[in-house]
Amino acid sequence: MRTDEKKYESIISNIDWALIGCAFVLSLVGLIAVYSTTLHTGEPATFVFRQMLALAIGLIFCILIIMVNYQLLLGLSYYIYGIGILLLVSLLFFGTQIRGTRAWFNLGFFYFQPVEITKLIFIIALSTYLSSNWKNIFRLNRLFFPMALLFFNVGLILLQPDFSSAIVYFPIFILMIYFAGANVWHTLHIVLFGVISAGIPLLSTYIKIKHPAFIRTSVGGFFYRGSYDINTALIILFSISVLLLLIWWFIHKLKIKLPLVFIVGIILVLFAGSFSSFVVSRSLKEYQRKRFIVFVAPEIDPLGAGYNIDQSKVAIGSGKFFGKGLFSGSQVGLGFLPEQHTDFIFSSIGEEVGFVGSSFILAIYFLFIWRILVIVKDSKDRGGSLVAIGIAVMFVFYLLINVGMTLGLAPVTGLPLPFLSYGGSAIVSAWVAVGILESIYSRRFTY
Amino acid sequence: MWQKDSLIYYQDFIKKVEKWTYFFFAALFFLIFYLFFIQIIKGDYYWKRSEKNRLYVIVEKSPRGTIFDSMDRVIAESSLSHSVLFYPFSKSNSSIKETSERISGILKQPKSKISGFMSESIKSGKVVQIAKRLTREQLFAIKEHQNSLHGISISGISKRNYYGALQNSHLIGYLGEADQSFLRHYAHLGYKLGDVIGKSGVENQYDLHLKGADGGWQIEVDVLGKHKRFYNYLNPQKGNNVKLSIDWELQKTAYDAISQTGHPGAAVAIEASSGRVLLFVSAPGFESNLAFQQDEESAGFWRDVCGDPKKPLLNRAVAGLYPPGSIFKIITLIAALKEGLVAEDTKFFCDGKFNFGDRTFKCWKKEGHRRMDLRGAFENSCNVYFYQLGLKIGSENLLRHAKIFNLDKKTSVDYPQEKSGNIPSKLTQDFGGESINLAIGQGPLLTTPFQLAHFASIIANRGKIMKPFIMDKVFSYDNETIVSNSPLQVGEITLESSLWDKLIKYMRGVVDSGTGRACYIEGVPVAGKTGTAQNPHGDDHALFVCFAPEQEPRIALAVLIENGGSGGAVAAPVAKKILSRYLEVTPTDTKATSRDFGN
Repeated sequence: MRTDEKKYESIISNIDWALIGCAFVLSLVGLIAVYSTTLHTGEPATFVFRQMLALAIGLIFCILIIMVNYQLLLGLSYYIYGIGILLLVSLLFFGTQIRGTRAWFNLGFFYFQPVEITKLIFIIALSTYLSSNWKNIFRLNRLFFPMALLFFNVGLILLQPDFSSAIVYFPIFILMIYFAGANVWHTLHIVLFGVISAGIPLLSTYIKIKHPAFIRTSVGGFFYRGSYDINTALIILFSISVLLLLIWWFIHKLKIKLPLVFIVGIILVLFAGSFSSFVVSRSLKEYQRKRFIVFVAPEIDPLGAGYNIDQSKVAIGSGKFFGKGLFSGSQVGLGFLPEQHTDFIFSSIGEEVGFVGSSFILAIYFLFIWRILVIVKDSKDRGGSLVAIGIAVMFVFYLLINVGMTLGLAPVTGLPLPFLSYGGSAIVSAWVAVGILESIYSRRFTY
Repeated sequence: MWQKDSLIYYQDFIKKVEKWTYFFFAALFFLIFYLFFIQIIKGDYYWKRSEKNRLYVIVEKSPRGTIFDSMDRVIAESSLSHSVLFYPFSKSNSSIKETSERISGILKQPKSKISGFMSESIKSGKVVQIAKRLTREQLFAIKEHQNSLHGISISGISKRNYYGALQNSHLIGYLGEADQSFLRHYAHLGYKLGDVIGKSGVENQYDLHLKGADGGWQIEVDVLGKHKRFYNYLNPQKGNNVKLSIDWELQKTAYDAISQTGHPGAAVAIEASSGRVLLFVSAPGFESNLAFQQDEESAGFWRDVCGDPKKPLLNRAVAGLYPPGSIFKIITLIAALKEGLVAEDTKFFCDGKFNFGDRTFKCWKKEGHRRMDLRGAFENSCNVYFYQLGLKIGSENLLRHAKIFNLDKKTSVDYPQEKSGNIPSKLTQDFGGESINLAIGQGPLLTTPFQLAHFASIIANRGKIMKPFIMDKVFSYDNETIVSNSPLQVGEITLESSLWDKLIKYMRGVVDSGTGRACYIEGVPVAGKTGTAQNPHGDDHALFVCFAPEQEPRIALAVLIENGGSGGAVAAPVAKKILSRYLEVTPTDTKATSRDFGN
């Protein structure tokens, strides 16, 4: 008993209060912002109460997880991963469908979104594998297992289908294996795979909307059919493969040494990427494709998807230096801002508290991320560092894409702003992440 | 620091992470920079857009400024008419019922109609107009009970009134709505679709001064367009007033005189010393009060005006192009004297016609003027004498002199739609005989009455060219001058002083004893020149230019009577009335008007 008490004392004295402080300030700002953005609905109290409840649950989880040694989590990570997969599978059968996506469990008092937790589980499981196989991770065959972890997770999420939640897995995966010591060429092949699987559906949508004349040509029509018809796709893939092999043969004859494995690798990635693009294509909804296209070519749809970005920019820009004052934003209060309490909450902050307030928020995020990077550095083992860097990549990705989206610098992907956006599961998940980080940090001196 | 691994692996890992940390720093820095860009640098732009998003304005048009003549007589002014608006912001049903009862009592309109408007307004969430053009009594009754009339408000609409509409119609112009083609060119000046703008004349020229700034009720709307609450009332700002150099009485005299001839016509007078335009009339005029009415009562007006064979919409003063006829003999005379091609005592014999090659040119006087010297030929406008001069001068030389007097250019008076005359620099076909026709102002020569008046003023000034102007000054409602015109010399035609003396002496002779005797005024020395312009489409146009008094000219005048016939018989008497009116002389010799002294 005495040693236990001592242990907890040492944990509490070694906690990074700056990290928790940042997260807490952001959560409080989030509560105020949610109140302001739901005022026009007439019942802001309901929204704020739900958000507070989620915050409370998140804090409890956070404290609990700080108490648990993260090494224990790492040790059990494959079992936890299994539970996560079970959650995702049962979601497909028992989940509640909202706006065409089966992503929530109805828990009576609130909807629980498992994907918010499974991405943390994925980070832990990946860290476990990478830290125990670090010596050989530069070998390609050691990447098959991590790829399987990724594949099951992302595949099940795309079946919901929830494209935006699936995106975040890729930067986490790629940067984690890279930091853990994977071969750069292997990493690039995986990036190419990701680009092909997301790129084919988006490119075909883009061509369909922007250059319909191209599809009407015989060559264009053939390639376009390849984006959804598997037989056509196979013909195209085989011809490209033959072409690549011929090029290799030609180069080989010129006595330039280029390993055949390299070409075979590219061909494999091409095939794999194209097949997974069929899955992605099915999970992508029409409006999501459109949003991406609008980001590339905003003139296509000024009153549809482009309207959201435009109104968001008007909201932020009109805040000027000091903002229009708390609760007095007209873009927010009169409903011109879309999705204002979830994805576009940063726009309402920009409008109501101006440059001063919004850059202050960004400064807190900066401090928050900086503290995570300190944890990456100070962790006592490789596993802890990898978990922390995975969480850092996740938060940075959410932050940059969300804020970039409200400013019209990134496509509208539907990624929330951590701690601020309305959404119970996301808040709980963010605080669980803080708990894991503190669990790592507070044990940096223990042996 | 990892406890179980060697330092080198740890350092390798940290190095990779650090490299990527810079990406994050750069991205975050860029986001803050971009926030700065759209919130601080482009903040005003986005702020205006957000205001535009939320504020719907029920426009209350600003009253246009008043237009005065030189003696401060009102030519055009705007008056307000009032309408009743209903705002659907009150939610209580009983107060709405009470309001509709009271309003129907005041307006003397059926209650069902009023409550119909109101329920429509509440359903759509938008403001509606219940009644327009309130009488004084209705207006006061509503104002009196304003507090008990929930949701009722009064809004003003301005209406334009023109006085002396017919005589001033071309000068002042008329109003219309700004349309797409107008906005394509002028939207940057703050015009919006449906704005009332000056379509022609002074209304058009000084529209930016006259129009003022619209006000209205700003109402906050949500994204669905529902009116949420009353936000602000902006007082419409009345436009600035414009004072013209025009003399109302002179306008009336001229318009009546032209109308009495039974022909369309135009008259323009300029104060020679300053360039101030005193008279600007084109007849027939039109009822400019009817030209634009917001409630579309003007359709009949436009049908009538457009179908009228006398073309009342044609502004003959600045856009009507006429051959100058014998008035051009002034140019011929100047050219001949300047080049020394003729002396005062050079005599030619006129037997009524002139043969050149196989062509015969006639004099207007069939029996001929017999043997004449230069002065006699000018005063009696002998064509044959001038045919001979024309031959000596040559066509190109003649045209060059016409250009010296700017007869091919716009006078650049501050009036829109001015046309420039046409003086070709070379004749397309000249077999030697064309200068004969040119010398008496026929051929491919076209001028506007305004140009001729300006021409007369240049002679009155002995070569000094003043820029003509119609606007004296623009001043605000509190009498602060905003812009004003002052005399501006824009050029000078240098001729020997003796040549000016001769020309003016001859022009005096035209009125005293020549073709312009119909304009002779007892006690006032008038210098003038008659013109009868041959018109291939009908009767000759009667023209007369003059200035008076001869030595210290106060007024230079041009009169045109379309298809009027002889200049001396038709145009000169009109000029006489105008001059007498301006110089405050009562015309005595009325008999003279009925006699023809030649062209």
